Amino acid sequence: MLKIQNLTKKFGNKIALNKVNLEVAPGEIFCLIGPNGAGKSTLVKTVAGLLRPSSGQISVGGFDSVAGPEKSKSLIGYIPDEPTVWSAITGAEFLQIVGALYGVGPKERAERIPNLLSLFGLNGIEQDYFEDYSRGNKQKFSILAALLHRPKLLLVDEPIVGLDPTSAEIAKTQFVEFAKNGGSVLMVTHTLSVAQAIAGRVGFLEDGELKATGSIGELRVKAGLPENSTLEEIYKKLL
Amino acid sequence: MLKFLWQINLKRFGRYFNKNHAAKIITVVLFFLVFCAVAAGIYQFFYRGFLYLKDYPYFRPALMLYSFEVFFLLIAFLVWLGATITLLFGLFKNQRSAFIMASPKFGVLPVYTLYSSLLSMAWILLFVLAPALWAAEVVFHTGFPAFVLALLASLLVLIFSVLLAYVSVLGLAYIWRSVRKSGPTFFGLSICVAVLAILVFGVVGSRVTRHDILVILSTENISLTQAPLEPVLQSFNFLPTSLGAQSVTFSQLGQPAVALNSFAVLAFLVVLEVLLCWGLGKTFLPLWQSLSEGSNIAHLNQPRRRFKIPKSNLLNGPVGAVLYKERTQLFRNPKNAFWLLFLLLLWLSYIGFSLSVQLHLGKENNQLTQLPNVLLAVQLLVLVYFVSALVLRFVFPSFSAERNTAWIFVSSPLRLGRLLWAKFWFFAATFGGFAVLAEAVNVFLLKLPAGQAGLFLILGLATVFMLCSLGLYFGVKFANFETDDPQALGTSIPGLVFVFCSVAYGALAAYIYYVSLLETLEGFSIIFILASILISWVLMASAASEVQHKDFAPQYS
Repeated sequence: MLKIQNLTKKFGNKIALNKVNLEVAPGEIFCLIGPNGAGKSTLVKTVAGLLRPSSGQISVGGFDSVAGPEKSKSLIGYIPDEPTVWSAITGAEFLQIVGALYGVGPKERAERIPNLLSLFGLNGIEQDYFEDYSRGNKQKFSILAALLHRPKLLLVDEPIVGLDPTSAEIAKTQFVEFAKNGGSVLMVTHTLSVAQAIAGRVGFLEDGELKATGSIGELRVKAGLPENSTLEEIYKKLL
Repeated sequence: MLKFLWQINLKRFGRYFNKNHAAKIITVVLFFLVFCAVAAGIYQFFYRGFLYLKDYPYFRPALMLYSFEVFFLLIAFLVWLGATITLLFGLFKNQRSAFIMASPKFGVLPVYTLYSSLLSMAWILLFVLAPALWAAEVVFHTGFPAFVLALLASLLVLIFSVLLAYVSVLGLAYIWRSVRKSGPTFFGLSICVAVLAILVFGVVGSRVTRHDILVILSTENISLTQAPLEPVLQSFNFLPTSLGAQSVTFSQLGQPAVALNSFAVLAFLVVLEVLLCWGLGKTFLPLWQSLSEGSNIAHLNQPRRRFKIPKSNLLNGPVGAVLYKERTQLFRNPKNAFWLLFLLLLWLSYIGFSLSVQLHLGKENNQLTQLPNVLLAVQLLVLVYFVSALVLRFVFPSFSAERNTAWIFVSSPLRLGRLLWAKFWFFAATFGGFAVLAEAVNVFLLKLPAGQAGLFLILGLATVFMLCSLGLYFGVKFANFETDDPQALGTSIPGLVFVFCSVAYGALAAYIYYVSLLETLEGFSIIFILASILISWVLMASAASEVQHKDFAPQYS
């Protein structure tokens, strides 16, 4: 579903991503972890089309993200790390706007939005203004917005920051369900327990370079650690 | 704490020059030059007016007093309205104020915000009031003490206006809290402030424009050797600004005792206001708590009320989504709504002036055959400048201001070129509608023939298209993701360049229109309209092409 080849992203002289190669298959959850400033968010934002690659290729569902961004973006659902939305827009309006942007018709939106709202128990506050929501509720709306057009690839940047434990569990379940139904997930997180619980494969990114990728078992072997070692221990060993 | 906040702001000012310091020094110098040009213009305006008065001793005292009454009233109203908007948001919607309010020194916030507002109005004293007073000093040679007294009286009027803004905002909030058990809401307080502004505008406007200036100056009473001051005083003395105008006028007329008397009363009113501000400041914490709270509750049975906009059919596709968002943000965002109100009141003042010129001067002097032509050209010029102000505030920053919300549009399949065109059509249609309405009022007042009226309307629309495309072009070409504050974005070098371009374009439009009216060569105007539309299209096409290759939101680095 997602194929990244030799992706390099520079900000002036600073190299944020250096020849990154990565593939995420349908039905797979790939978690990207690494220290602050490693380039994780830059990678996700470049795939989402917020940043333009300096060189290399990104293909989503076979569509090149530079040559045919409209087609590749229509397959993506993006959940940002900072879910900032226009202040004077209600939650319901935000979902309607995002639905319209992705070509979801009014009838489909009318069916899907109430169901999505009930996922996180947001019914009843959808007519409030975004500036009045807590950070957690903003995050929930951004998750719902990403799921609204039924994408094939979810790009998730720090998904559970600000969510209460119940909501975090619901979000994790949604991502797993999404992958079970054939979707792909590329997730950036610092919450290693989440990555350990749901990731099919994990990638360690440091200084813009993908240092290691593989299933947790493969990474454990690579790190020379025993079978019961956690992702945190692997991370500390490999980075 | 107060000292600490000033130090932070001084350092922040210093840091402003850290990055791109050459460009920022140029910006500051250019701004200084703009202010100097404004000061020179005001000086010339008053200097020539006072020279005229010097030759006509009959009019001198009364017309001088009338001029200062109107001048001070206008300045005080604009300062009060501007300070009210600034204080409303500075006191209750400043996201950086939470750390002060969480500290034991929370009482510093209203004091600091008030001082900031007072300081931000200092430029008016230096670049607007001082040149006018200096012009009087140069013409009438009233002496330096009289000039200083006049300057101090002007300063008191400014302080009075800002303090009144503070009292208005906190006073309304305090009354609300006292009358109703539930604390005031920001939306409710915003509405109260807007209603108050409209009421003040309406009541004061109707009272001071009730009498014809020629009647006030008693021009038909040939037995008088000098126009009496009483009719002027009767028209204005219900206003505190009249004390400032009297102080200035009498100091210029060589009557220091009367001037000092007015000055003392004004100073006393300012002291009373300071006491009131001090008292209201003591109630600030509970007011701030009520006014800055959101509905950070997971379940709320009754949604908060705000500007309601009827359900829309716009949300049928990606472009409709952009239009819906732009419309909602423009009219529902309280800060935007206040700015629109501010500009609307300015525009209404101008319409009032047009009406007054038409009714009074046209009636008194039938020889002024060129008056409609000149007025039409001036109307067009004023319209272009109003639309420029709207474009500078709303269109020019609209691209850069998306920096934190960019992810919504940019990660969607909508092409950024289409996003830009959608923004263009939204602003062109909205401000075009405003322009047509403004022009229609003028056409009606000036009783223009159909052909001339049609040309005037189309010319106005073409200038709106041109200004919107120019604003978006500069906004995209020089996108600035350092801030999302529209005022900060508008005061950058590209913002200034836009101002210069729109001023030059407005002057050209008015000149071409005037020449085509004078020489009955409508072709000039038609060529100008076609050229404006063509250039608009070229600018938009260029901006739409540029935006496709933009590294959107580089702050994510």
